[in-house]
Amino acid sequence: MTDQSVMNEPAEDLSNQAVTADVVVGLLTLNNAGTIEQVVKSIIEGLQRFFGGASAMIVNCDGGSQDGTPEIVERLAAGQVAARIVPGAAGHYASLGTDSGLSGRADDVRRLCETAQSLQAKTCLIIEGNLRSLSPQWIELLGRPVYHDGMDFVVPLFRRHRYEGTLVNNLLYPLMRSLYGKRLRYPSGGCYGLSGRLARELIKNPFWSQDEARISFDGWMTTVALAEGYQVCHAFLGVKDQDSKLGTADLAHVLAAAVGAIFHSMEDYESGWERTHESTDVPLYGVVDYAPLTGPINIARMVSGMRQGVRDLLPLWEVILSPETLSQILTLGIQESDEFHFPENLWVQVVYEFALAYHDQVLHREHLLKSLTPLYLGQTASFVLDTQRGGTEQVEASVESLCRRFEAMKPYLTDRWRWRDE
Amino acid sequence: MSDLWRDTMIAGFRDAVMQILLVLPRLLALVTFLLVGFAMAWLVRALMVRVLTAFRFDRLCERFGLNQPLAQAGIKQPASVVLSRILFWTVFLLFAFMGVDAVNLPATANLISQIVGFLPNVLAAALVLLIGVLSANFFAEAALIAAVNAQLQEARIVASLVRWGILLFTFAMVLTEMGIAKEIVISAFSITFGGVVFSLALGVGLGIRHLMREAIERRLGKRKEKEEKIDELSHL
Repeated sequence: MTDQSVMNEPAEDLSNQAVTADVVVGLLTLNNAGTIEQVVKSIIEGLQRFFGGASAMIVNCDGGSQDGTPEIVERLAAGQVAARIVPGAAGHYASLGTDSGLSGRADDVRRLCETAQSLQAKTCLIIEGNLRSLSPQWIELLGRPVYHDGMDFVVPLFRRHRYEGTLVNNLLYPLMRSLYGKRLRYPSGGCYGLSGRLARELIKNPFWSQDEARISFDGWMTTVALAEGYQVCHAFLGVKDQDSKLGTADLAHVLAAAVGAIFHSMEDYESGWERTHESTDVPLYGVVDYAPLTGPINIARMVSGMRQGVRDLLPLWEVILSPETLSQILTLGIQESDEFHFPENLWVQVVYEFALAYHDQVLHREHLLKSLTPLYLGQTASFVLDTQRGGTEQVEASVESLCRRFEAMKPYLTDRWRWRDE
Repeated sequence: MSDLWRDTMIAGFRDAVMQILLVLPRLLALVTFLLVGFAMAWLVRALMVRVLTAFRFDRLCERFGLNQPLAQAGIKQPASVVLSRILFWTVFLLFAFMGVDAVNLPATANLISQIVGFLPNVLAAALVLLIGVLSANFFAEAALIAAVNAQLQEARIVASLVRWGILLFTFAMVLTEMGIAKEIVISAFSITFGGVVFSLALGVGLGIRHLMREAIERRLGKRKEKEEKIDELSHL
């Protein structure tokens, strides 16, 4: 490991210096003085234990902290590992509400990728400064698949209970799997391992200027890795505990950002996903385990949300959905809460028809995406009702069944997509 | 006697012929203006249809929610057809007015100059109306979706209030721009708008205070915290 003095200069100046690093740990921070000490110590220990023979550097992309976070990073890294501070990368508290709760995440990661490129890094890790549960093993699990096994993108899995991530289970995972043919269970997780060549790919990708990408940046990064054919894998990191200063975002906003990013990427990569007909597993590092369910789930409220959508949003859905799909949805509005069931076929049709309507721009896109929320609540209620008597295995079996349905019905999407383009 | 009668007859006939000869070219000019106007209007309409089709105008209107109010107003044709027809009649009427002006009747003197002088107001009013209707639909749609997602039972009422609030404001602006009963419009608008705001204030104070409390609590995040305690579902 190189033992260099701490430098404090912007990323663009690095290209002129003959400094290289095999492993770059990108530390994204914004006022994280409360957690940063533990984070930096874990990173240093992880680098020393698992990447002892490699040159390494911590690159702190700070969003303009007022609590001395970068100074703490400098102090802790001094004499241990080389460190650089990339100040003001986030653009002064811009775009709050991104996946990680940090401001200007896309800008941070871009500067990090540029720095990694200038350092000719083979492996680049993205770590958030607000993590309380970061351990040295995380550095190994995120870095080893790239550094030793030739992977390009490591996406973390965390210990969660069976109903955490219902949007991922019911929509994001099945849709991305059917589109890009990779069984990547969770498309985003806040911390990642990237290869140098993927970092270079990300820099030259034009999505940095697109609002859809910046709003849901993590999902975009995963989409680029999948669609461009990079080697992707999962690493199980255990419990994720972070010090988030932001409140929980509104469901409709979260759904619109996450789903909108996928729908938007479908236009960029249409020639690729149209040719994908089956899916394959991705490697997994670590052994996944699940947390127990800790509390009740308010199914009645979800069904009520779905019913209200049927009652009030029908004029909008008439524009988005086909008459056959709409007539089936109308029958869902009269089902009792306890017996509520959203058929798999119907849900897949709904998602594909929303994707087609997004492509055709039949409505303002944000309105279109947000009007999907009641239908998603209906599907989630049905998903919980169908699996609540079983355990985690039944939830996973249900997700797998839904994914297969998405894959089997993919021609429904591709045929209409091509027909509308002609 | 017979000479006088003959001279009078000849003079009368000559005067009548002269009058006819004077009016005939003007009538011919009127007919020509009407024919050329019809041809020009037809041409402009055909061109307009092609241009709007090329720019996918109907799809754009659908996207911005313009087709819905047209359908509600009983207009079944696509927006591009409606716009082309408006343009057809505008061009035709312009030529027709030129023809009427060419006849040079005392009653229609300076008709064209008056119309041309008023045209900027009409165009400005039409633009205000278009923007107003589009904004009303857009914001009503946004309000409806937000209210439904917040599970407010009065979602459609909220959306209607937003739509009609913006439309009311737009109509007042259009009438003021056209100079029609300016003082009455301003007074009526002030009274109506003030009345709506006062009603809302009363409603908030009395009728829908629970609804407002729920909305404010949700906004401040307090309710969300309460809900999260009974609902362990996280979506991402």
